[in-house]
Amino acid sequence: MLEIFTNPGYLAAAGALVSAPIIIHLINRMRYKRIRWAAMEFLLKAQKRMRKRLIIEQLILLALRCILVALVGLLVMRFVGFSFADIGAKPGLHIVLLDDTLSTSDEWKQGESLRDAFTIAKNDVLVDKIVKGISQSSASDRLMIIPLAKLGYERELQPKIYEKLNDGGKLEELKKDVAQMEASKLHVPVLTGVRKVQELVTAYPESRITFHILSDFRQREWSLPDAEALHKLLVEMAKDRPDLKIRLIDAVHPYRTSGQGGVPLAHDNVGIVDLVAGTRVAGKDMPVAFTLTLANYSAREAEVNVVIYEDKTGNERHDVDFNPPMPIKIPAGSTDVKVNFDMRFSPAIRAGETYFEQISARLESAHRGKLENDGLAHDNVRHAAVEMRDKVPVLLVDGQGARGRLENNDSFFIRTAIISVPGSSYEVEYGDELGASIPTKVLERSDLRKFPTIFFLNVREFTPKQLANLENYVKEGGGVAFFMGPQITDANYYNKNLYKEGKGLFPVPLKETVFPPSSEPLKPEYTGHPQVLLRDKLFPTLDAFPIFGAVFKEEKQRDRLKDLPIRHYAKVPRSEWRPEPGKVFELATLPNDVLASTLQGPALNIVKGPALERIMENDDLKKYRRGLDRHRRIIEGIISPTSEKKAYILADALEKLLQDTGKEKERDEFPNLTEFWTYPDPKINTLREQAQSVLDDARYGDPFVIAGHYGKGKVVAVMTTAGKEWNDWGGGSDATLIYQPFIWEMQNYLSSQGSESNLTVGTPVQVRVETEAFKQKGSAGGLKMTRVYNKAEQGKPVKVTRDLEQFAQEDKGVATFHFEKNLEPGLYVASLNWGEASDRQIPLAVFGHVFNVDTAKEGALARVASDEVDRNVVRQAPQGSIRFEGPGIQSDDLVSRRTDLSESPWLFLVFILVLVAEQALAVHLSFHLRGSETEALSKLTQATPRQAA
Amino acid sequence: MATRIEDDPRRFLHPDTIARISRLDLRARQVVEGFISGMHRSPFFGHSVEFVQHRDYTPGDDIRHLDWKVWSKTDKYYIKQFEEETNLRCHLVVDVSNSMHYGKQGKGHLNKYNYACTVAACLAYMLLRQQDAVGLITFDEDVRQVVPTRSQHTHIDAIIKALDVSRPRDKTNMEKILKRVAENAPGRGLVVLVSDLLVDRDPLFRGLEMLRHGRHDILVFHVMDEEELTFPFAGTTRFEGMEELEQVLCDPRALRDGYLEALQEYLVEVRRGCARKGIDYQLVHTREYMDAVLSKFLHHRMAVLKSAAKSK
Repeated sequence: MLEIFTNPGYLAAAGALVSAPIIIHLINRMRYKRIRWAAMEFLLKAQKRMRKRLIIEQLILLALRCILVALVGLLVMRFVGFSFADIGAKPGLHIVLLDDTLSTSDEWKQGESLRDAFTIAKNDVLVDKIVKGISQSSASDRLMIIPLAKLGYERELQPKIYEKLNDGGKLEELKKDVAQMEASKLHVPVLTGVRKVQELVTAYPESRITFHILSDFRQREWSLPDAEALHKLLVEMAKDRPDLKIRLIDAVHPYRTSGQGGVPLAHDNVGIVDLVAGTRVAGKDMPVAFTLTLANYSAREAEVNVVIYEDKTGNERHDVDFNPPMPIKIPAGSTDVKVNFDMRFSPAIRAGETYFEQISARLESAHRGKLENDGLAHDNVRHAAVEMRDKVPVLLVDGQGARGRLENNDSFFIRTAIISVPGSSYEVEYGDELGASIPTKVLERSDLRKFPTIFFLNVREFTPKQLANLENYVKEGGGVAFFMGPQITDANYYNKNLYKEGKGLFPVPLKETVFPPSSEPLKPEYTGHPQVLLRDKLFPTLDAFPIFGAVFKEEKQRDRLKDLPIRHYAKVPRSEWRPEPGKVFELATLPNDVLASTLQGPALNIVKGPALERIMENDDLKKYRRGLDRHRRIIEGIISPTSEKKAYILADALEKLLQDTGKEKERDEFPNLTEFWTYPDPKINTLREQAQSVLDDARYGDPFVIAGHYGKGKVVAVMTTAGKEWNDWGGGSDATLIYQPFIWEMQNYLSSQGSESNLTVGTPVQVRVETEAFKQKGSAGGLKMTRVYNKAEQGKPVKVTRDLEQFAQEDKGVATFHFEKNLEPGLYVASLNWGEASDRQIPLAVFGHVFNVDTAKEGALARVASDEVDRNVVRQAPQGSIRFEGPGIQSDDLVSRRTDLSESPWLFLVFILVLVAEQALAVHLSFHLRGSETEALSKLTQATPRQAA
Repeated sequence: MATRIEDDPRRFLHPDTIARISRLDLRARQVVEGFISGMHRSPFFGHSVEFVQHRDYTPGDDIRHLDWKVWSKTDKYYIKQFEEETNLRCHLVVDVSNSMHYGKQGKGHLNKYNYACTVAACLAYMLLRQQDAVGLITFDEDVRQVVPTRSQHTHIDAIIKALDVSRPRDKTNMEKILKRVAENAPGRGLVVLVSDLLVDRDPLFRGLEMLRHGRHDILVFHVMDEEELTFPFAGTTRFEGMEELEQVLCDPRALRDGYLEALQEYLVEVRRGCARKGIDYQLVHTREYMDAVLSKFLHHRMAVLKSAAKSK
């Protein structure tokens, strides 16, 4: 603040102000009246006599007036940006992290009107308490408002600083800005906002900072263990800056009060978590399967109706059959209630035209009305879009070229399977036909995107350009299936160029491209064991099990796997393979056909090792001894060095050991071993886990079908041929019956909407296209993308508004478009064209992105317990630095007002005294003809006549 | 019960009324006639024509003055002799110096000079009406006009003419003036000095002393403007001396107390000086009614006549 004094401008102004009386005095001396005066004698005498007194009195009066001006200046300085309280003190900075994410739209009825948490935070806390407090506090206090959602799409946000809020104009400007703020539909973690504030706190070391978090304090973000990082960061901030004050204000109804313990009540909420189409691209009139996921975040069961609207017309689709039928009951706390339905679309589209069919699923009450007592309205709507084509092309790239289309060869079986999809509009195209007899040359085409899936059958290698295009294709959402074959002879090529140590397209490394060698095919063994093992146990439900989950919905279909002779396959080095969890999934595995004796050591360690002996010392467990011994004997028989039993036999034996329920009537001989394995003894638990591990090692051999995600797309690798060369799946076995469903489901899986279909509002989207691919059609001007937003409203046709136009950033032949602001739910359609092309020109390519609210992260309205925040945050920080309150907090607790000299009663007293003194002196020095003086004049002139009389 | 302004005979004596009359002779007549009409209730009525004694009739005497009552008793002719026949000689000495020019003039206001002229004219008119002899001397730095003493009624014209041309100018040299007056007024008489007396006191008193030595009765009408007595100014003002070059730039409010103090000292000094010398002194200001002046004069005239009678 001292710079105010050293600032020449301020100094001049203050000097001019204080010297104003002197200046006025001097001006008055220059502007005088003239009077020709007779009685100069008395005037001169008076002047001579009063000179000293006059000068002193005038000087005193002048000084008093100067002091008065100075005092008035002190009184009003606070309102023009100067405060004595600021001298030597740090200027105040209030940083408000205003949570405007979706969950703050949580609304409730208050009287006749609807209130929501964001409005309470914005108006009742920010404007009425914080802003008001600042405007009445020191003039140097500043305010920054950071809308949390904005950080979701503007990482380098530089918040506006509001200063001098005691100025009415600036205060109004701030209020106007705040009034324009609305709750967004985005999800941005509070942690992101706190980190941003931490940066600001570091950037303003000279300020006395108060950090206000106006949020809804949901359990999901503020409860452990998820909130550990957030808690730690807040405590760390408070410890690092002793003068930092953190105020956590919960704006949700019912309001928290000071010292309130326990979990406050939260409003009920039901929402749609997901709506996903079975396919990314669908043909006209082709059935499209949709899966809707519902969640009930309330503490009681909810009954709802799902209604589907065709957004193009805004009309409800009455022909939708839901499974399960509507209305549906969603148990309390359930977040994964699935509803399936199929829809067909018949848009009038021409061949080669791209069109997006957009639908909305909306939740209504069981009686087809608005959901009652539902906190969030935005999560009751979910949008989905399917790219519609006249025919859906599927590309087959067969290493054998046209020969592959011959009967029993790879392309033959795949084509047969694909075109046999019931009701489908698939159209199979061949790489060798499109690529001038070179099957992989098709990968150099610009219109690769039109194929939702590409099957690579027995393809030995790709050129670098082809591989780059292929990677880009999958990254942008394409689906690729690899089938092995005899032409693939170099495992290193695949490992180096496709697998790339887990970073490439191919989901697994290869050890041997053909196993066993071609001359020693595996002989089918009809032992009653499946010849391909499904890894469904790696997935929570059968629905979540890609490809095979749908094929083997009927349990008896698994029997087909008992007759699936695999003669050759490409071998994966399992011991070296470390699949990335959540990205690569082993769907099916070949049985472990090594000799069981190779697992003798680990197996004996389970059934005869010291661990088991120590366990059996417990008398309570002696009753299981016989049963365990019986299994031990069986296993010893299987793993004896002379045994020729395969490892999967050992796996079966170990499974029986773990799941043996014994015989009810012969408990001594056949005890229930499941009781033994669940006995509450950590040693038994450890042994059971070891047994399960040996079981898995014994059962599962080499990976057979592996699925992986790459970019936005999906890849499936099948370790054998698509045709009959290495197996009898396509024909000649019982499993042939499930071959076609396997291919159908693979096609569905590969063309299904992946993560890109489940975009949440605020997620930035990037579109990359090969510039070269469009050159032949192009004109000058560079590539540009024109994007429109299709706003869907219930009962109204979709409203299309132009969103933006963007020219590409080109680098090495790749044009990239960035779409950062995707803030509203619905479909955004971006059309690619040359810069100089008119809007009417048919676009080179069309991209559609559907954005929805993040119900999974924002829908749960349960609130964090006050005790938890108190325990983990408030009490961990220095005393008083962090407070957790509701909107009822006093303004003074949010904005600490420093007492200013200008507010001191002493200053006012001094002011009044000086004013009185000035007035008294001024009156004293002024001409006031008093009554007594008038009388005196009369006496003076009339005394003589009266005396004479 | 309040007297209506229209019925108050003194209304003609108010300076505002007098100021509206432009001609000095009319002004004097107005004042004096108004004053005399108001004398009906005055205790001074008739003193100016008071009977003194009888003397024998001699041929040539005006038979209007025969006392027929005495004749009816004694069968002798006696003439009634009155005071008016005492032949008072009055010298009006009027200051017309520059300082007398101070004061508002016109629109109901009289400045000191006009006020002094009016006073002089009124006195002259009244004296001539009572058969007394009146002369006039106007002065500033020196004597400007001298009108010899006469008792004819028509003499008023000469006096008024002399007053009218005596425009104020220059500063006053009182001692020199009064010396001239003493020289011009041989024998005992009444000297009426009308001045603002803004002069040095010593010369003034020396001059008055000289007159007293000439056995003159002296009546001083000290004319001051109301503003000179109250000093009611405000705001920065430059006062420029009317007779001297000195000037003072000041805040009058701040000097007012000192001014009034100096003025009071001056007035006291003048009054005491006059009293010590047996000089009748009357301070009048320009807003004052003329009757005060005329009353004062009549009182003084009576005193002069009585003392003259005693000395005979």
